[in-house]
Amino acid sequence: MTNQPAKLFSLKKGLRIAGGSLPTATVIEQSEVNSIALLGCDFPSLRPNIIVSEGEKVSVGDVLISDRKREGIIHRSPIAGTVTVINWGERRSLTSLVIRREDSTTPMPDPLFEPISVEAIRELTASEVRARLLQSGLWIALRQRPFGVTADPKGEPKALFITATDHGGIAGFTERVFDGRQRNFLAGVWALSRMSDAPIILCISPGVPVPEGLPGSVQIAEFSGPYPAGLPGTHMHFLNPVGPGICNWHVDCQDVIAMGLLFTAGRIEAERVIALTGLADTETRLVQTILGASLDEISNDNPVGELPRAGARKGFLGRYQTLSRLNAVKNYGLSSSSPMLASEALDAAMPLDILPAPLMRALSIGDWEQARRLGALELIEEDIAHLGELCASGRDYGALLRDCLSAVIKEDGI
Amino acid sequence: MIRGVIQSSSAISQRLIIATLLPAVFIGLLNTGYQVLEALRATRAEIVPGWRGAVQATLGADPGFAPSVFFDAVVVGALYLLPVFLTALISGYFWQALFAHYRQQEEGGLVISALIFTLLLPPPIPLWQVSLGMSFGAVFGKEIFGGWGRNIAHPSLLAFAFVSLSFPDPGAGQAFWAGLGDFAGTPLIAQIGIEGAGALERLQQSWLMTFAGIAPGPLGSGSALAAILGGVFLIFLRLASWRLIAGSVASLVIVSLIFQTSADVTGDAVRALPFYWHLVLGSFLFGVMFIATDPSTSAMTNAGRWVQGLLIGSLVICVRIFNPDHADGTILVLLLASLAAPLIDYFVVLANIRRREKRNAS
Repeated sequence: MTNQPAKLFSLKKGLRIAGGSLPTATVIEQSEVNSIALLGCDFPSLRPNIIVSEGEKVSVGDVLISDRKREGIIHRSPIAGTVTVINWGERRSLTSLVIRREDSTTPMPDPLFEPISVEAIRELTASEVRARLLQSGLWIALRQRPFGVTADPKGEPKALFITATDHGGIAGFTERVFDGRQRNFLAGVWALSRMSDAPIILCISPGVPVPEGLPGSVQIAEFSGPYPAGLPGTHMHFLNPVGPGICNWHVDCQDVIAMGLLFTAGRIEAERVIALTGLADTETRLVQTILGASLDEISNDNPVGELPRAGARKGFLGRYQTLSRLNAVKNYGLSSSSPMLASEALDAAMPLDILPAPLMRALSIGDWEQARRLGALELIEEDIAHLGELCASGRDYGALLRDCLSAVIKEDGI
Repeated sequence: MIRGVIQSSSAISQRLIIATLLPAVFIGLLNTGYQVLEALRATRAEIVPGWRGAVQATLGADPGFAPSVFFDAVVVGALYLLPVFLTALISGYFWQALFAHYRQQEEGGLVISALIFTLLLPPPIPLWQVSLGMSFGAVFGKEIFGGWGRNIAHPSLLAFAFVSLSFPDPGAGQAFWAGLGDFAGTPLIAQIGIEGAGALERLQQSWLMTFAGIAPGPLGSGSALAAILGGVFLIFLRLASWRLIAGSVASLVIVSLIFQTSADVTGDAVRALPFYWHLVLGSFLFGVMFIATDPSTSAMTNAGRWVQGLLIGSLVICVRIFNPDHADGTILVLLLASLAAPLIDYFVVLANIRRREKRNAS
């Protein structure tokens, strides 16, 4: 089966943040870390039922958390070790759960699930795919827009976006990730194509070779340009915009590769490749490490800063994070005495048909209704994180947007 | 990246804006001194009247100051510009410090607004008027709204409007100029309105000299050259909106061309002026580059910036032609345009919201 030729989107507006392209010699390094964390800020809709307790020993694949509100959504442990800290947030929400590795030479556990051949994946039913994704804990890789929350296991998206673009403008990143993993990626896409009738849209960077043998229903779109051209929020805006009652799902290509492994090998892949920039030697490094890994350990105790996001990161990799910038420029806060200046630079950094200055003003004065009318439902923190860097006020607009989205959820539900 | 860093720090951006104003300050010094010395030469006087003459005499032992000597012109220009600037700065600082004390909050932007206000003023302005004007501008153009960045009109603009509307009698400056013959520093555009196009010939004023800013007029906002030098820098750093500037210039050119077609019928000298004269006369380019583009008092959307620019250019021509009382018109138009900015933005935002609603409904 052949896919339709790719739609091209060459975006001019945006902000160049991380450093250009990867040196050709860059290899993916292995990074063994001793502590990992699950961060509550990655799962804004989660009402956690924390099954483990502090000091408890867990092994790879043990259930740590289940969702009280939405049945079937579980979070499994990516490593074997001891739960050292559970930080609770407001109203029984989770701030972070930290696990310390006990035995660094954990033997690979037996396949948790029965391996399925590539051909058999094409015959699976929607409920079989969903059941396996939920049981494995890999379902949380699917996120829903508006709101950027874990997808509803019983829901249907309008479209499913697979993000395979070079985040943060690091050219060559996705190509390295795909290298040698294309068969698993294909298996993952096939499984997803069985899961729902929604069209699948694969968003890639120009130059990334599209794996042969994708399901015929997969549409391909190429996105190039500075940040935020690589983000799913941008892709949806141009291809299939969301709004009240219109929702899309999206998943990162590395999670699709993990899904492929889940079906073909029956095991849970917890390793991901991330890009580290802003190190002392100013070279971008690709590191293969575990989900939620301690950034201090990966970066060998470099001072760690992050793109501004809701909640304290406390030096751990986010569940959906593939780029870590270690040279944070500014400190951000929710309130600020400095005014916001609506300069043209803000418009030059916003490729979407969303007016940045009016949106930022609505967010900073807490006018959620106006923010929603200005397109806040299409966005999550990462989509406007770069606007804060262009604003003299020092406000964390991502955190303000999350407050706005939470207020909308409270009023209208997800 | 550099531009991003500049955007994110108001301290750096304010210093850069002051730097972009320096060409205007320098040409202003030169021009003011030149105009004063020219007027002295015409009356065969050799020394500036009043205290300035005393300072002048101590600086150059012999009173042989000549307009053609570069240094002499700058020194005499400084004798006029510096007192005005210092008065504006001190008055502004008093109010800023008072509000900062009671509000427990630091502020910036004072030097910029005092400097722009100074450059807009006519050289013979009495200092008490400067002080009153700056006080009004600082309090009602800035402090009562919560400080720099939250104001709805530029403080320098309000200060200048206050002075020019409260003391419109040119006699206020007349006594000051006693001894300088018929030179009253009347801006070129006003003289054209009074005398007709013959004023340019009588004053031997070429377009190139006017473009450079060597013409009777305000203390430092008359130079189109200095405004372009500073403006290009501001646009490059994205501290000023090129859309607003392009819209203003384009609409000034187009609307002046339209009115020029009916100039033969009315016989109006201002109406007959070609667009390239309108561009360099008055404070138009200076106002557009440095005042209209202030991010807190201009439109905050790209479409809004175009509309605001079109409004400024076309209204300036209309005021120049239809209201000889305000010969230049730039300042009042800029004030009107900054008050109109929220309304312009309102419609741009409304259109964006409608577009989204329509898309979601389909």
